Amino acid sequence: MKEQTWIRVVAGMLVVLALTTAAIVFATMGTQGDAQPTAVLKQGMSGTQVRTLQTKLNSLGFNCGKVDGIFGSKTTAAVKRYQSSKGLVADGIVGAKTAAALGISLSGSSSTNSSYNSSDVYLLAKCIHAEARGEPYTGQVAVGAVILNRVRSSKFPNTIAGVIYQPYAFTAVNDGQINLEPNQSAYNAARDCMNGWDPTNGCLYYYNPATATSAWIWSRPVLLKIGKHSFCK
Amino acid sequence: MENTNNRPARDRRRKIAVIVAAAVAVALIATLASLVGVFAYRNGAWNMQVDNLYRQSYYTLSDNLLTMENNLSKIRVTRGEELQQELLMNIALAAQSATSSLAALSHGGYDMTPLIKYCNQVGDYSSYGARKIAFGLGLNDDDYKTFSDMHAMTYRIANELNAVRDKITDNGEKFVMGLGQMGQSLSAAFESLSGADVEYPSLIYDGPFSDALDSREALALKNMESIDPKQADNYVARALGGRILKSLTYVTTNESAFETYLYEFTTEDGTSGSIQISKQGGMPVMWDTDASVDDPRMTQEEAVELARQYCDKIGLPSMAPVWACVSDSIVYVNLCYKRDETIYYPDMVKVKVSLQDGAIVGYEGLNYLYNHTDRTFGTPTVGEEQVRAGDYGRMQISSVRLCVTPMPGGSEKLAWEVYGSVDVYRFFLFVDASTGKQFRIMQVIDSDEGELLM
Repeated sequence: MKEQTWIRVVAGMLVVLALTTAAIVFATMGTQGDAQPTAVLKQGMSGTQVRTLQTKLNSLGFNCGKVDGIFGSKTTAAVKRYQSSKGLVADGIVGAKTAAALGISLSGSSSTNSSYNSSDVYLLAKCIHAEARGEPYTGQVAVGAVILNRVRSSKFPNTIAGVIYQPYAFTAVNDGQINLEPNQSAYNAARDCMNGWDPTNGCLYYYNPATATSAWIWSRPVLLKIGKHSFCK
Repeated sequence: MENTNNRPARDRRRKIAVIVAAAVAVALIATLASLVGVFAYRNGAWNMQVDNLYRQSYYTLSDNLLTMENNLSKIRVTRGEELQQELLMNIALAAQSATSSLAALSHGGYDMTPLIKYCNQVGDYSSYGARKIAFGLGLNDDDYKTFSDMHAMTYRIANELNAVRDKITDNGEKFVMGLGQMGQSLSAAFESLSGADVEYPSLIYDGPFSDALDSREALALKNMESIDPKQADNYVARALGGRILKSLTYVTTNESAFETYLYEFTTEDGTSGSIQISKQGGMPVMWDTDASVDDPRMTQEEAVELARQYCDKIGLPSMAPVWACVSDSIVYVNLCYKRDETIYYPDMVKVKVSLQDGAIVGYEGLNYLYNHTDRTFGTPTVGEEQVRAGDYGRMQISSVRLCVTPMPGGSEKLAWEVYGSVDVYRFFLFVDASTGKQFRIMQVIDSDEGELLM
């Protein structure tokens, strides 16, 4: 009996030791960066890449109507016809295989007259998602508006990336939640902000009264409360 | 009773078990120790990298403050306009870089905003000075006084930061003492420069960072009666373009530059979102919905016309569409007040239209409420023919029209808007209607987010 107990103790210690080693191996290896989302073109999307797709489909005889950069039902039908003709899965979504067959690129912006890319909208959507997911839609727009108000303010860095990555400015950047992939709602909120929607009317700060510990932020007069966030200047 | 015949075999098994367990334990401990060592080494390397980044920001900041101080000193005694412009551009560039370094040196322990604001304003004011010279206005006594004040303040900041250089370099003090903790000497320097006793000059001028912008009022709401937040149904229904309200819930009052009431709403047609109505006059400030489009069936042109009709419905009959961009099948239409064939860009509203069915899914009217008022600019000194005959390089002119444009510090200017293209590049170029000088240019940029103006 004593012997069995002794063996169990040794075995238990070895298991603990092995688990600890595994945990340290995992921590030492670190986590890899987020995989890039697979780019697709599908119904509901719009922009330069959709325009390129429509031009290509029309030129190949798969009529999708007017080249307007808007992926509607006519474009979907044309894509399906093209996919069927090439023996591809006819789902109307332009993924890597369909794009390769068409000879168009899905990576990055295919702008014709500039080097502009939409990283600002993406970055803003990431920060909104990390800081305000679960908040009412207008609360998400408000968080994005605060970021853009900071960009315009003399008191902060003058770029979206500069504001978002200013050390210790946003909790979600500190703890890595900024790297979560934003959902559609965060994208929509980011676009509204970029187009001028600002429910806060110029606020530069927000905080959650249930969790904020900074004495300084509590001293700011609250101008507006949306969801869990209090907004101030 | 124990069988003594089995004892040697059992003892042997036990010995083997102990030896195996000990070997496994030693192997695991050795692995653990080496991994801890690697982890500690990497951690130290990362700390060093971060420390070096902070150190780089500190030295870059010091260099740029020195450049700012030196050029601010020179501008006080320089009267040649070309040289003044060169000095002012040097200051603007150095201030911009200093702002980035300050932002990189931020941490949670104290408020860095006064310092960042100061550097931004020095750069902005210098650009403003360079613009004045370029437009033939020159610097005046007030400008020289401001530059002199800025020189004194920059000298003080540069000195305070230089004073800690020895401690950091000679005493081996680290910039990063731990998560969120900066070196003691640098922290103390920043804290003293951000204190309430430090009086940074207040700057009122024509630039985006001017202090004048802190005191804006909503001109369109002047002399309007206040409304009761509990009696806003009619105002909300009108703001939603005549939709029938199913529910309306008061959320809060926004007490920013002018007071607005925030509501959550749902309409009979299933639209739900939030809306803000001004306390004075019950004017729509903005409303928004989380709209997505699955199957776009409208054209952009149809959406623009629907946005114009919506403005009519909410009591803004003189709005002309000036720009539209489509993003994920939502069209953002910009409309401006138009009078006597002149477009008033400061009086802008934005309307969101769904390409699914043409429904209006959002409205933004803050700029209109801030800026719309009766104003008189008189007849332009420079005529349209003169503008058309101007030098625009290879640009082919498509249209010319008169407009009022907002200037960075909040003022407005009567201008000619010249729209044209060179190859695939399209431009909006603005010409001062008083002097004939070109003062702003914007390019149309194709992007995945629609056409943008930059």
